[in-house]
Amino acid sequence: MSVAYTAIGWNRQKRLYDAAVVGGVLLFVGLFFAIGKFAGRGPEVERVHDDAMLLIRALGTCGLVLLHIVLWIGPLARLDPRLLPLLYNRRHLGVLTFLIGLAHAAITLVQYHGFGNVNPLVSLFTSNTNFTSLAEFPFELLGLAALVILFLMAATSHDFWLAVLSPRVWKWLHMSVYAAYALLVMHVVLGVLQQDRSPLLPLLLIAGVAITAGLHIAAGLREHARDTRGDALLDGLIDAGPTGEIALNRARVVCTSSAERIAVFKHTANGKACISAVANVCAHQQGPLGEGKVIDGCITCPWHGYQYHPADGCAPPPFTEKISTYRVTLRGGRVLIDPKACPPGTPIAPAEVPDAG
Amino acid sequence: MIRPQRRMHAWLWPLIAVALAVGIAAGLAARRGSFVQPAAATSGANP
Repeated sequence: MSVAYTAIGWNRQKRLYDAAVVGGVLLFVGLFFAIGKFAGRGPEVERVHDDAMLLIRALGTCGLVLLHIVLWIGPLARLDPRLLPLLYNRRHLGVLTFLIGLAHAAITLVQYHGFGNVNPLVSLFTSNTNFTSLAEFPFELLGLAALVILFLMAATSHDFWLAVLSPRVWKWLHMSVYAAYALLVMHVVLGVLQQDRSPLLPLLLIAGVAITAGLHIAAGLREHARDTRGDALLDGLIDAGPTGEIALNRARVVCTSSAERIAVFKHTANGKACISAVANVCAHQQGPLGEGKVIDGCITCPWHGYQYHPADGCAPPPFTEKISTYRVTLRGGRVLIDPKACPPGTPIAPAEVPDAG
Repeated sequence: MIRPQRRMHAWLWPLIAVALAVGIAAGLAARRGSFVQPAAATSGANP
């Protein structure tokens, strides 16, 4: 089996997005450098070191701030669907975070390990082996470990790797961003915070960690409650509520007792409103189909625009993705869903909504 | 499926938060010198 590689599909929106983000990074680094330079004027002999150190700190701070933003996007989009557009092109932010971290590491390596008679990389691993002391811990190795994780994530951020590695393996690899985050927090705590006596840095770091943890816990608890609640059953069928409460070309998401989510869409077929039910998980990158809408007769995933026919869960040709479908019954004006999934691509006739009155 | 990751945050992140809180507290305490080991006396050196 082979997976064809296709390059990044650049479009105007992506170019504008990347230009805005890169511009923001340059502005941040420039301001940090300028403010640091004019706030800490010193004698001539120290200014060379100050410039390199300022640039190291500017890049390091920028990278950590960007990583915080990347981590906040996921739970924010879960907590408030209006923030879903933030998910788009999040991978671009991730790759940029890695590149900023790489620049920070490269300048640090040259500045602090490049002027001796030992290979800089050897010096990085051997100059400080004081693992038993917190105040003198070789914190640079924590940063290096985080950089390796970010590199692996950046290198596999393209959809090609999602197909090669399988979505499950790819997702678990990209979950290691949390390990990278913890390593970077400790890299800062055991690094710059050991010398810097300003209370501002620890406060900002603690605030960042608190917000990141708080958002994830809030989103996780909400999703966990949603999954374990399950939706009401009527004669073994899931009650998705009155047909009138599902907006046209939109979905209501219901949950089975085994925490599988089903997207129940109201759409039109042959000029009549009808109801179809499909798996809530997009076959592309597991996006939440129920948060999308029906466009040109196809369920459209809100993450990357993958489409499926509501009647059989198949992607329109030439695409071949398929999702599971579910049997739908209308009884007493309510939508009832058989929680037993049909194999992906199984045609299920949409349930026609009776005309009102 | 995204399901495992979605619910995992409910128990994983409290662990991460506690671990980082302990790490940050230990690191900040260390910068006051609490954890710095006193320099060992060299053997054979004159006092």
